[in-house]
Order: sequence, then C-alpha cells, then structure tokens
Amino acid sequence: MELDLELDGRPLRVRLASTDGGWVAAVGDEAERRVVALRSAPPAAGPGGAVVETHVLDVDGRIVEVVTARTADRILVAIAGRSWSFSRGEAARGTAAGARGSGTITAPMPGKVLAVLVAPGDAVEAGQPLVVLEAMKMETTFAAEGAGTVRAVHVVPGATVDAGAPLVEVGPAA
Amino acid sequence: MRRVLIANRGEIAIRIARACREAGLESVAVYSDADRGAPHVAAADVAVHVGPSPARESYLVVDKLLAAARTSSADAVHPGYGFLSENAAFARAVVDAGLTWVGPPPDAIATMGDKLGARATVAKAGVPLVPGTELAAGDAATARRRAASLGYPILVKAAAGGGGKGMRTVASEADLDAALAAAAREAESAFGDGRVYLEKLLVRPRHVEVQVLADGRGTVIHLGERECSIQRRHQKIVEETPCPAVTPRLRQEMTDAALAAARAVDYASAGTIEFLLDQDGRFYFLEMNTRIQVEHPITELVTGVDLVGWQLRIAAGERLTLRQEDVVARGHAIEARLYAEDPAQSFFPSAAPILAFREPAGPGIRVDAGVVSGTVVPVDYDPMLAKISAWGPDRAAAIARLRRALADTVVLGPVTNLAFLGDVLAHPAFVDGATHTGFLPEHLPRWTPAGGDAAVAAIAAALALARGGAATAAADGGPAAPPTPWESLGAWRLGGRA
Repeated sequence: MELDLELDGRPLRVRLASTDGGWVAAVGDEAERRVVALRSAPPAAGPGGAVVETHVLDVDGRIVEVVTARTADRILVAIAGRSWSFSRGEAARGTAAGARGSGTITAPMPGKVLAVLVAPGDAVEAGQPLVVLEAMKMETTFAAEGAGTVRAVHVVPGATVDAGAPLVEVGPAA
Repeated sequence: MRRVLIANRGEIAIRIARACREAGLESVAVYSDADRGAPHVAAADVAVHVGPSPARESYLVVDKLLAAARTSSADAVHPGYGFLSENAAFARAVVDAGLTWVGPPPDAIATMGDKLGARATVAKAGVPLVPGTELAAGDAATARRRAASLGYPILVKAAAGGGGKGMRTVASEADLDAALAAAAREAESAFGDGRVYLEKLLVRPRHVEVQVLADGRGTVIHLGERECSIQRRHQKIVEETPCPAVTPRLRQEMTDAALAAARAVDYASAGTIEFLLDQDGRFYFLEMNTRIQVEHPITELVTGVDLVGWQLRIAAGERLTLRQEDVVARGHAIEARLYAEDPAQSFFPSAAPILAFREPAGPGIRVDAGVVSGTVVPVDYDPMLAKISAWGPDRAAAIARLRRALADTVVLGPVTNLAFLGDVLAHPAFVDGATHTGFLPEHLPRWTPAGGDAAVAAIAAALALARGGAATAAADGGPAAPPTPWESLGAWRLGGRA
C-alpha cells in the first residue's frame, strides 16, 4: 500500500507492506523500517469529528509512543515532545507557492486590523511592513517576503478578519 | 471570609480555586461566552456568567464582577494576575462593596502601577533605578531629545504597563516615532492608558526578581529570587530559581532592596520586585508587580511555601507567622510556559481546538494547566495553555527533569512552543546558565522545528490515514475495506466491524 502525504508543502510517499506480526514501512527513498504495534488504545472522539489514537510502536527495535489526531484534512502526530502536521497528498497538490515576493498575505488567525501601511500600486521592499494585525492582544506586523508591487489591499484599519482572510496581495515588481 | 470570587480564568483561576478548597473556602468562578465549561469553571464550587468573549465585555468589567460577587454571595475577591489584578480602582470598588480584597492595599497598587510614580517612590527608599526611567516620553520632539541624551538603543515602555505589552526596543532615532506610536496604541488597547516612557537599554542584562510576602502589620519577608531572562516579545517563557548568577552577597543586597521597596508602599500580600542585573553584578529596579506572579510555582517548589494559600490567610486577617529564617530554599526549580503560538512564525498565536492534551507526570514535576482535551483556545485571551515546572536537587537535575517532562507532554491541535521550549533547555548556553534577556534572538533566531524523527511520524500518519479509510467504508455500509494496518495488528476493532 502506498500513501501520499505532505509535510510543509513537501510530498512524502509512505509504502507499507504487511509482514508476519507487523509492517515494513519506507518513507520516500529511505531505508525500510520494521514496525510492530505493541499496543493501540481505542480511538477517542475529539472536537470537530477528530479521531485521536495512541499507539505504542516498536520501530527497528526502538519503542515509540505516538499520539495521532485525524481531522477531515490533516493528520497530526506527536512523538516525544515534537509534533508534525501532515496533509493528504491529493488535497494539497496544485497549491505551489508563487514566486518569492509575490502572493497573498493572509491572516493566520482571526484578529483586528490595526493599520494598513501600503496602497495598491506601491512598490515594496523585502521586509517592508504591510499590515498590522492584533490577535490575542498581541500586535503582529506582516511584511513583504520579497520586493514587489502591491496588487490589492483587502482590508481597512479597524476591520475584523477571519483566519485565512486575504489581507494584501503582492505581485512581481512593476 | 467564606466564599472567594476568582476574577480570572485559565490556569491561575484553577490554582486559586485549589488553594481555596485546601483552606476550607468556597470558590466562585466567572466565565465569558468563550469559557462556558472551561476547566477553571469546573474547578470552582459556583460559577457566574459575566458576558461576551472579549475581555473588555467580561473579565475587565468591574460592575459585572461585583454583581457576580453579590449574586453568588461571595465575601472576598481574588484577582489572579493580568486582567484587573493591578487595577487600583477595582481593588477600591471591591473594598467599598464591603468585600475582602485578596491582594495588596489599593494605594500600593496605584503607586506601583504608575511606573513613573513607582520609580520615584522606590528611589527615595534607596533602590537603584535604570538610567532614564524617570523620563516620560512626552511629545515626539521631547522624546527624540530625551532618547538622544540617554543614547540608543533605548526601550519605549508603557507607564501603565506589564507583561511586555506596549513595549518596543528602538535601535536608532529613525525608528523612534513608529515605536512610540505602536507602543502607545498597544498600551491603550491593553491598559486603556497610552502613556509611554523611555529607558536606557542595558547590554545583555538578566531579568531577576524577588518574591516578597507581607502581612500589612509590619512583617515583610522575601522568598528569594527568580531569573526570568528567557523572553520573547518581552514576555517570559522560561523561569528558574535560584538565579545562577546571584551570589549569596548579591542575594542579600537584592532582597534588602526588594524589602525596602515593599515597605515603601506599606505592602501586604504576595508581590514581586523586578530588577535588571547587568554583567557587572549591578542591579536596577524595573517595577513591582502587586499581585501573584505567573511563575510563582518555582518559588513554591524550592521553599515549600504556599504563596496563594498565604494570600488568602493574610487577606483573612492572619499574621504572617512565617519568619525570614523559616524560609529555606532547597534545590533548583525551572518553569516552562506552554503557549499556543508558533515560534517559527514570530510566535504568532494559534487559536484552534485542542484535539489531544496529555500532561507530564513523575518525580519533581508540577503542572498548572488551564486546558484539557477538547478546549478551544480562544482568540480573546493570552494563549498560555499550561506551566510545566520541574524541581531537582541541583540545576542540572532540574533541567533534565523538565526536558523529560516536556518530551512526555502531548498537545495536538494548535501550533505550540513545546518543541521550542525543549530546544531552549537543551541549548549549551542555557545549560551553562549564560542567560540574558536577549537570549532567544541571540541563540535561537529563525528557529524551525528540527529534531525528532519525521520519517517515523510519517509512518504513523500513514497508518492512521489507512485506518481512517476503513472507518469511512464501514460507516457508509459499503463493501468491507481490505484490512488496514492497525486492524490487522488486532489490538481492537472499529464499532460495527467486529
């Protein structure tokens, strides 16, 4: 069985093959690993239909305790104080980031727009502040990733924005 | 005193509710729309709804809190930290309503709450100040002149400030106007007071603070110092006691200064005097926090003194029977603050439901958590999820225990600083005790989550995903899916597919 995942925009193909009492798993071009599940707690229902599972795995002779949370579009994995957020390969395909310096700055979470520092047509430098957003009582300034031209400004000071809302679009330098 | 209204939320409200229960007192929780059913509500005996989710319409509304105290027949109010804890008008309103205020006298809050007034007061008591701190920023031209005479870099700080809100570092005059505007705006939003002042920025100072406890009847003692240099956005994320740089002689000087500052305002209850300690061992008064401090657990771990318990006893009129010589610090304690924020994205807060949460346990570990699995981290408040503290017989043991505890902690849902905290504790400069307030930008700039085994995580994700496919097929009543990895291992079966 092959499963396509994405981690931080990079595709990861995981191959799983059943063997006696366990699995042989390989990620991308890496060497195969022998995986045995020693214990799997019953899955628990989390908020929003998430399914949370705890497993004790033996991976090539090392014990790994894993907690996973599966939502509609992501699989979150926690191991030893680290966590990873995988998406399914199919869903995330076709969203390759635009050229550096171009693209739409979006609000990473709900907040209030405190200041809009640019207007459409403005030339901006890398690192130039574009929008100041307040969320959880903290101010955060969103800056241009690279040099470019402001294509559109979607918000005004005082506006409340939802997570994912476009704030400013920056195109290639004019 | 029989029933204490806790005018707060999150982990500190739980901490206070626990102390109330241990003291034989009843506790009253207050909650906003976002906190209906929150863990701090479950920790109390009685709960009162105080309004919509924004703090300005709930936890910061004096009249609503007083009304909640009336309807719940509370006879005392504990403010916790943040929110109205250092609001003298709130303290006075509580007292005027005939209730007991679990905190310092309102006049002490007012004096220390105005950072400029505080400096004048403690300077008279012989406590050293950071150069420039007596200067209000004034108008733009005045600010430029004053900043130039102090010499850059400088700090712009909120007169009503605390917790790093309304604070900006200014490297040169070109950045001054923008910093003044941003600091004033943030201060206005956080404290309703946009006044700011300037302060000389010390080079690589440590943040060292002294915990005091006073009964308002003449007894004032200290419980040693805490170092809180590991800060992002001027907010602490790792604290420890004792401070590795404080010698017994320096401790004597700093604690003497702290006691003098507390006496200068006839202090009562628990309080903290914050200092900057420079590389030459000179220390300067920063401010006094007239409330219980977030990082109080580490002092409790090394001294065995229950600070919140003493706040309640002192408020109830008891004398501080604990003498200075009774306070003996043993070993070393470190606290790490677990936040729903992304250290790889400027520590931007991450509001999301917590899908899975597991607290660490074991020898020397203390957890003060404000969330459980299923809690939705609200956008309206500070995104701290929990404080994880470790005690050990020495500093190395405390670090080892805390690193182990962080590795045993699970948070899935929001992005958190869990892995970042682990990397801070593992950093050679932290292990050496070579800390200062610029530690994070110096040692962990542009941090990204490395380490751990992403391939094993990917395998686990693939196994979970394969299982998910089977669950969907079963729920649809469709043809039996081929055996999935987990199922073929036989540990359990999905409902309906025995």
